[in-house]
Amino acid sequence: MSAAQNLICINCPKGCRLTATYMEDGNLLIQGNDCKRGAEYGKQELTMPMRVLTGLMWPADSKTPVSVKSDAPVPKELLLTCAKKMYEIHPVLPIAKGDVLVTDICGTGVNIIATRPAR
Amino acid sequence: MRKIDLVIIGGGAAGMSAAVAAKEEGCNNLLIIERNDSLGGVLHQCIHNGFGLHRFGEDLTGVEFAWRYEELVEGYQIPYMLNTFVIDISPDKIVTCVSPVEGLIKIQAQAIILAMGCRERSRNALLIPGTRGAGIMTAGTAQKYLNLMGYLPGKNVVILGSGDIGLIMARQFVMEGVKVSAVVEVMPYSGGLPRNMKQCIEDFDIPVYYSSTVSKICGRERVSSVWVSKVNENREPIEGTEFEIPCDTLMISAGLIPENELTDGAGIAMSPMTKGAVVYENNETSIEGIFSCGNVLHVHDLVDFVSEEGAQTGKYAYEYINSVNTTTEYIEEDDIKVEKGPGASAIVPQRIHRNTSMDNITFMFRPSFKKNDVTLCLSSGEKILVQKKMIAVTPGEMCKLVLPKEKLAEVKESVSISIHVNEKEA
Repeated sequence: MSAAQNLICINCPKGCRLTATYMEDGNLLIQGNDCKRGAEYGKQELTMPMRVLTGLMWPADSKTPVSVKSDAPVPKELLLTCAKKMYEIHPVLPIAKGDVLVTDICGTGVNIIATRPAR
Repeated sequence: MRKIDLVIIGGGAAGMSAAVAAKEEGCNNLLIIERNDSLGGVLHQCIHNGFGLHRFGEDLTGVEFAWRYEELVEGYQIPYMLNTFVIDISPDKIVTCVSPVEGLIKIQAQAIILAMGCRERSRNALLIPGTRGAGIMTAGTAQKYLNLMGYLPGKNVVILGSGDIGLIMARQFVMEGVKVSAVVEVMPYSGGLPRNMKQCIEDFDIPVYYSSTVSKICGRERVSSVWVSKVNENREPIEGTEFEIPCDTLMISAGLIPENELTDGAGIAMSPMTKGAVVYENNETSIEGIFSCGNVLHVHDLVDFVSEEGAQTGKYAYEYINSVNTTTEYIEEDDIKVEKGPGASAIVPQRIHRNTSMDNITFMFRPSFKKNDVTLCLSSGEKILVQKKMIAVTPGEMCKLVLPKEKLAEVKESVSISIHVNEKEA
């Protein structure tokens, strides 16, 4: 068994303190999680960390931005690349809540959707 | 004078959930009064995710969370007045407000729910010396500029304080291509949630200076730099420890202050610990029929708990309205006082009716330190009534203890809440 690594679960604001230990069989043991999302997070974080992208997009001909999010987490290392790509695109008004504004951003298979309407 | 059963002051997370819950219980004569031009409060500018996991079992952004409640308010046809500012509440529950449409209005309420939320601690409240150039603002103001108005507040930011809004803004700035040069925190630990330290600060390698403060702001027209100094045990800057960080913006994220001018004006008893009203287990204040919930009562970590508290308060207020003629006589001398023991602060509620109708009484409070392996204790005299072990506590995270009603019989005149650090076994 290797030394335990400490992690903080970011799934919800509870922020469970997790310890992750590689077992002799190569499996990862996650402890300290209050729910099963914590175990999934721990494993994901040590293999391929993922983050939900939230931000703003500026529709063409609009001075105020519309708030958006990714409909699934993207790899953490692609977060800034995705954000940059998102800012280069200017969707057309009107926008309804839930409209897909960017499809398959940076080849992640994840869409960027509007979280509120804009007219 | 207009007569309304339940008047809710504030249409943010707390106010909307109180209104929705009261309506669901059967309250048909109610009104939300909101000073802004829309319902939703601060949630409109919270475009980040992490909301609603407790309340809806879904990961929503603040904007989406507000939307859920706005749809409920509209769906139930709960009346609300926008752009309307309450200027006075009298102890006999007359609400005086001004609206651009109707002018000065007086409303006789049977019950009132105070849900006015918080304001941010500003540069002036922190007494930071230096010049007064452009570029000094609170985290919430920066958030409003960017997310609602579309203005980038600066290009190189130093953040004073590690409150959650500041941390969230740090991440958003990085994504917008803004440099975040430092987070400066007066305490030896973060004031925000651990998850936000992780996903907003550590993820982007932003430098954090603990036990430090901004001791001077430089730049006449626009902020050009700030001085950062180590602090002593009284949180005062230590001379000779200062160094300069160039920046064009100082964003302050150093805590929230409940907006209780109306509460105070009505003569409601206030708690110096929470800076909110003193309340009973049903969130009723020292004036019968006036209730308080959400961030105006005590500062919460997350909106899920605000709306939960709002919903319960909506129910309690409607119960009060229904029982006005048959109400159980509460004798003030019999009230159980809630006292603060070592390690605990900002406890809500502060009082319990001896003959309460509630099955469980939930206490919320903040640890006054950051420690690992602790036990939360609720005791009366020498007797421990409830205890709960925790792996770690920090002032940035609220703690909760539940006292079952059957244990109330064991309570003498007061209960005390404390946090004990467990001795390590040898």
